[in-house]
Amino acid sequence: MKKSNLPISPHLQIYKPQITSVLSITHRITGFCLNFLLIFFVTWITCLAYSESAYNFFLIFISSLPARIICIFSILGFTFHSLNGIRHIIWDLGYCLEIKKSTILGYIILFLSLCITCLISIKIGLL
Amino acid sequence: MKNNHSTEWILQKIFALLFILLFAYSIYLLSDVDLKNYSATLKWFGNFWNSLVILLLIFSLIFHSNIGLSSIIDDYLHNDILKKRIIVLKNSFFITILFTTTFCLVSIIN
Repeated sequence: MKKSNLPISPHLQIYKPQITSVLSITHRITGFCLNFLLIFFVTWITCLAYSESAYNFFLIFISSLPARIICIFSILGFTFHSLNGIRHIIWDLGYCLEIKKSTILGYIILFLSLCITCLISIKIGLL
Repeated sequence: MKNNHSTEWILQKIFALLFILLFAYSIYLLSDVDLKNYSATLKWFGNFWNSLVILLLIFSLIFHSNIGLSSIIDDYLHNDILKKRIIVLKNSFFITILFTTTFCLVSIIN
């Protein structure tokens, strides 16, 4: 088999999905997607440095429905990535490594991510 | 320099923790600021220490992100030419973000 045809890590096509593996992959996906938020941040800070009209235009842009939906998903991604990162640190310290505990912790993180996203979205007026 | 993955792994955790702390502190500092008000936001960023916190926040985020993306590239891209191009693209993206943020914050302070 040619090197280019070899299955790539972590061999997703032959790996049975479990909560731990799914959350691990989601952690990477959210981490990758959150990089695009840097563009959003830089645009905001650039508008602020540029002029008041540019800043107001940016505010109008982020209050539009598509931008609000993107904001909610960004908050969800950020919350999940942060909580799952803390879970990884807990594992690194040698705690909750048993299958049952890590599975429960995974579900807790999913639940907390959704709750925190709802709370933040309501607090800042996105919902 | 030889790639030391264990050092990268430790650095990624350190930058993540640093980011979380700075993020929580920034939220605390920004909680009293009306971000819809241009003058109030500009005044807040005009303070050197506030801008420094934001700059450190972005630096920690970019270093954390850079290590994370590098490991994703290592795991999923096996074509050396494509890998090099993606790494150049990634580095250019982060340098642009760092440069633009620093430039904007300095211009706001001045």
